[in-house]
Amino acid sequence: MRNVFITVGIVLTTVFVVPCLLVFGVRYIKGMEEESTGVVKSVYQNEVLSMNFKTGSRSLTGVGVGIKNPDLRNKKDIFLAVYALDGSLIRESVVNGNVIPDGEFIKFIFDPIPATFSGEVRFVLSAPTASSSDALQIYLARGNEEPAITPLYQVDSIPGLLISIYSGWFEKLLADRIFAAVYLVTLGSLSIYVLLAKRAR
Amino acid sequence: MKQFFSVSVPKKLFVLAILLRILVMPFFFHPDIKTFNFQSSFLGSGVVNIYDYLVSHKEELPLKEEFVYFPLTYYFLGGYQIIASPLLGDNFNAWLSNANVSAIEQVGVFRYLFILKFPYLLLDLLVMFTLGNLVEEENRKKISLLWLFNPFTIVMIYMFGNIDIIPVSLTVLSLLFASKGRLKLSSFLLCVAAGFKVYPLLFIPFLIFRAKDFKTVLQIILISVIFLTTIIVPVASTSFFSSALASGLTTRIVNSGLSIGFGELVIFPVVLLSGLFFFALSDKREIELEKYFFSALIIIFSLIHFHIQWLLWISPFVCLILSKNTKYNAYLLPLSVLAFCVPFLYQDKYMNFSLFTPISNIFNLIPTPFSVIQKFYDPYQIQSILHSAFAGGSLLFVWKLLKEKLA
Repeated sequence: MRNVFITVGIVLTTVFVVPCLLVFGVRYIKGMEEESTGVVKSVYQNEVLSMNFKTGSRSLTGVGVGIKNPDLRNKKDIFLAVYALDGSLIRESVVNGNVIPDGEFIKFIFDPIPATFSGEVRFVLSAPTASSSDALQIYLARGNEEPAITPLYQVDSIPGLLISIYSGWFEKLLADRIFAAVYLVTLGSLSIYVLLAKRAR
Repeated sequence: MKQFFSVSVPKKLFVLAILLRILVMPFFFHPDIKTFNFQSSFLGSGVVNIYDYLVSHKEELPLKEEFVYFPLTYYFLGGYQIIASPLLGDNFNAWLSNANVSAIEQVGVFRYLFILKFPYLLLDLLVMFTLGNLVEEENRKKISLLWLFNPFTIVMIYMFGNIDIIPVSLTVLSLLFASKGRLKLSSFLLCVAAGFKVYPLLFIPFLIFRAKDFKTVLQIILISVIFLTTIIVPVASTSFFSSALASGLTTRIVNSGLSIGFGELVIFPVVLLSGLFFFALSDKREIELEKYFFSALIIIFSLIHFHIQWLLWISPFVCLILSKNTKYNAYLLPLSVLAFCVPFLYQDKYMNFSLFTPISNIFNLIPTPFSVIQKFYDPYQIQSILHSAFAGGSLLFVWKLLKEKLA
């Protein structure tokens, strides 16, 4: 019987408690869904990609972008520099091509730009040591010449995030009404059977 | 038949086991389940040779992967989708075709995951019934509880959601028929299992060694050759050989070796498997098949980079060995934990936290244990140490197991 209790404990913990614990590992959340991507553009030597971006009212702590690294050829550094509109460098993040699998969503993380900044910045992606033969290719937004960048914001409140995860989970389940009804009734009736059978013994 | 399906555990526990599985089914996601179901959905459009179709239509398909499984997987999953389509709903195919990571956030994902994993539940229970029939009456309850209530199989079947439970159930059924002396039917079932994933073919030599006369040996070989030819010939093409035959286990098994010069390798898994086959050939006792099936698999896992769901292949044999002799618990529990820890450290977010993405896509943003460890130590080295410890313990255990009689 010991393995019954252990397994029940592990399964219930995994389904209901682990998501709560995992929230403490979340350092940032996406500001929006990943954009639909179109063509790619190579970044190497003097070939850079840039775009302006409004930081919004939250603390921006990074950006994610889809990068192709065909045959994992590139082992060089790729830089994301964040400039204020007056041209001053305010943040920088670097990722080595060695840890960029082909087609992966790569995150450039930097010290948070405080919510109080709330202005426009310029992102510049560059790889000065790469050559055209081992260049990383950045996914551009569909129908656009700018990189398909997803902003990553610092988590403001862990309890708020927890509530949004659990409520989102439940809302998503209930949004498919027929399935939710069948699923919850099945779970409920099986649970009642297990509990009543225990009492009968 | 009625006796085969008799439940040897209290009904309350049997229902509890089903309840746990139903609880897990809709809320965990590995992208493989979407990929191979997307590929299998083409059966509904009349595509028979999926290998050629995927290669020739690669440019226009949203998911570019090749179909890496054997043909029966395609027909089984495609056939099931056709049957289950009224339950899956109109948006299911659009969901399958959506290559964006946000597809997991769509309404209906829980329903899709539940329905796609439902056959696994039936096969999971079939394994429990079959295992119950493989042991003496007094051990039936014990083995049923071992199978139903171990977190390893629940995680592998319902969280990772790969198709391995299909060949696993056929392999265990094959073992049951072999134990009743029906070796031809047993070899046929192994070949059907190999129609899904190729690994059950490793067990055919042990059936041959168990055969008492040359006629049976010949029949086993003929059944295997004819059945495999029948399922391979309709799809045989360059695409099939490059996608299904040249991937996963089939190539990894011959890649790990020691160079002895002049281009030759001494291939570790082949050395040990061949040793195991010769040991079985020279075994004067009646061959205890579960011991050899277990040994063949654990030798492979010890010496190659394995996927976590492959561990399901060995799980019924672990339960069989434990139900017959609990003293092996001292070896098998730590070995199981070690075997689970190795893939947990792979540089693949879907080996751990990203499995929770149906609950919230935010879990996709949690760094993997690999990238956390990478900040202060080489994660590959930790993986290697764990894998080596697993290999050492496993090989010692195989030696011990082969020397002794199980029960």
